[in-house]
Amino acid sequence: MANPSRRQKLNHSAARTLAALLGTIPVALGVGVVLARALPLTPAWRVLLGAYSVFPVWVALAVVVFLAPSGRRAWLGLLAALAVLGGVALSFGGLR
Amino acid sequence: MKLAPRTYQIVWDAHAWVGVVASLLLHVMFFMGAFALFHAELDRWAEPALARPVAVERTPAWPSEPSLLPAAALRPTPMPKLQPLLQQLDFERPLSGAQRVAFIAEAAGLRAYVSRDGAFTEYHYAPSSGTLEQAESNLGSFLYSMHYLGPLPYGVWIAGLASMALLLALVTGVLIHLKDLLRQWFQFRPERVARTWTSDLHKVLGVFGLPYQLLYAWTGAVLCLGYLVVQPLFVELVSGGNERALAEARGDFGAELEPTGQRLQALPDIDALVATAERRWPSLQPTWVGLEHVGDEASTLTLYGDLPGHAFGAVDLVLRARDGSLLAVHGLEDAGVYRRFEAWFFGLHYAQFGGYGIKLLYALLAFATCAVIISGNLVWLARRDPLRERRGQRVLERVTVGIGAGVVPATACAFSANRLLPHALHSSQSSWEQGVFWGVWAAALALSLVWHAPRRVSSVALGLGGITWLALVPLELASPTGAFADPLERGVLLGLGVLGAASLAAGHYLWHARAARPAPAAPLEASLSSSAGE
Repeated sequence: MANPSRRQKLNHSAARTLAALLGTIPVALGVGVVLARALPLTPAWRVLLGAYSVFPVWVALAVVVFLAPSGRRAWLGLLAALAVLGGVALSFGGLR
Repeated sequence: MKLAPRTYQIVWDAHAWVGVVASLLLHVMFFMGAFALFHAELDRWAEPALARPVAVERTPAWPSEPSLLPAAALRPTPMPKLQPLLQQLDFERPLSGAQRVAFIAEAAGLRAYVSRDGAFTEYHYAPSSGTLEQAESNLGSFLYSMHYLGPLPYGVWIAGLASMALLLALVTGVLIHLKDLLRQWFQFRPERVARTWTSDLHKVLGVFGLPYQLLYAWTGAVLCLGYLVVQPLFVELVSGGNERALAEARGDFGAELEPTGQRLQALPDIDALVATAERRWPSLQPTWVGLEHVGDEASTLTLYGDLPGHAFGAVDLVLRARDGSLLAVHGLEDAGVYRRFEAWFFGLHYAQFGGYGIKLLYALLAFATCAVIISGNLVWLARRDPLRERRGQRVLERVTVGIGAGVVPATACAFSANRLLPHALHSSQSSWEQGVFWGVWAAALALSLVWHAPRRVSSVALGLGGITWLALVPLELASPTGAFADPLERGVLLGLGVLGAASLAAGHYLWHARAARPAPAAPLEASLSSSAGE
């Protein structure tokens, strides 16, 4: 088991772990939706890139969020990203 | 590239924790994946009462095909006349109202299924009698379903999450070893203590199998969760609830008709419909023929087939069953980017190329990935608690043994049950096979939890699995049906013989392997710097 100084240095916390593993899922889905709605490509390319980017984006986000200084910062960052993605998605029309 | 000490340690911890939490699920998925590659062959092998498919000379799909795996077994067998089989099924139980009747041509022969009111009945074609016979065993299909944890509650969801965990473990593993990836490719020191050789094994096989593991992690996540999560979300948020718009963007123009409830007087002439499709596309080799909403006025026939000479080149046609009019054709030239991408993406997952050579390579990589996963758990134990002083680590060791090694005799005994069950029990053969599988696995887990030396249990479990598989070879050779003359039987037996020998060798190696020695406790700074250099 890790000793206290190591824990303090790495600042592992349940909040940051949950943010990295679960909080990143809606953000990755949001990135996929934004790509599918906003990319200046044909519908087939937009849907392809949007749908198939979700899992690679999730992994990248999870690694980055694990490195956040604290759980609070991690969650705030994710919420901010989700808000930005929502705004971008709403400003582009989807498929009809 | 070398990571900063803090980054390195956080990524290392994420790799270790994600790996250890998902390890045993992933081990089962990869172990079963090796059998899933051959599920059609195993289903055919598990029905010894059926006459063997007629061998047809074809060009080998893989130049270095071993002679025990003949060219005839590489490609789907040609479709026989389907109309008599359709009439046979209709005679046994009227098909009107069934959601689908499908005929599937595979290397192991033709099989069929009827889907009705949520129930699913499978048949195998017996060339000697020219009829379909209801499957008594579903050994191959059961092992296939275990590949995606189908028999477990919410199994597909769990398998999807495990695939995501694998993706994260792989990416963090690569980040940890960016600085010395080349060295980890080759460094294996089996003479060292367990902590060292398990770590070497984990890294060597992990680096060698990285492209394969990345492919399966990504495709597995998409297969399990893409249709459950991503697609419904895209329907709502990308196409504003318009499912058709999204389907059209994907290149799926969905020619299937909604059933009207108006009944037709007779079954359609399915062979005439297939002939119509083959006239439309002469080079097509049909592998899947499905009649939807049987007996309904809006019933359609869907036909899939391979186009020889094209990687993952497939064509599908939809015809109206009533009059044979063509409703849709999707071929290579009109397949959009989405359909071509998916043909490659899923074609690589299902090994739909290269014949048995690629399938054998995939199976070998699947077993190697099992070794990566289990050795990862052993590294965890050796680093964190070499003397197993903590209860949690003792439980982890025992569960790793019980589930990881126990799945080997469980699978081997399911194979034996298929051959040794008395004839009186054949009507419930698949239940017995699965019962033996779960029973042996549970016994191995229970033994590993109570036995004083869990490492010995892993050796015994692997040895038992090996002996059980090897025992099938003389048993089959002595079989009065002379099944060994059949190429498919020879191929399956060769595979089981190799598996048996490998399991026995692994059990023997573990029995004699040197146990872990306690490592001296190191302070944080020393630990971080030594980890960075390790």
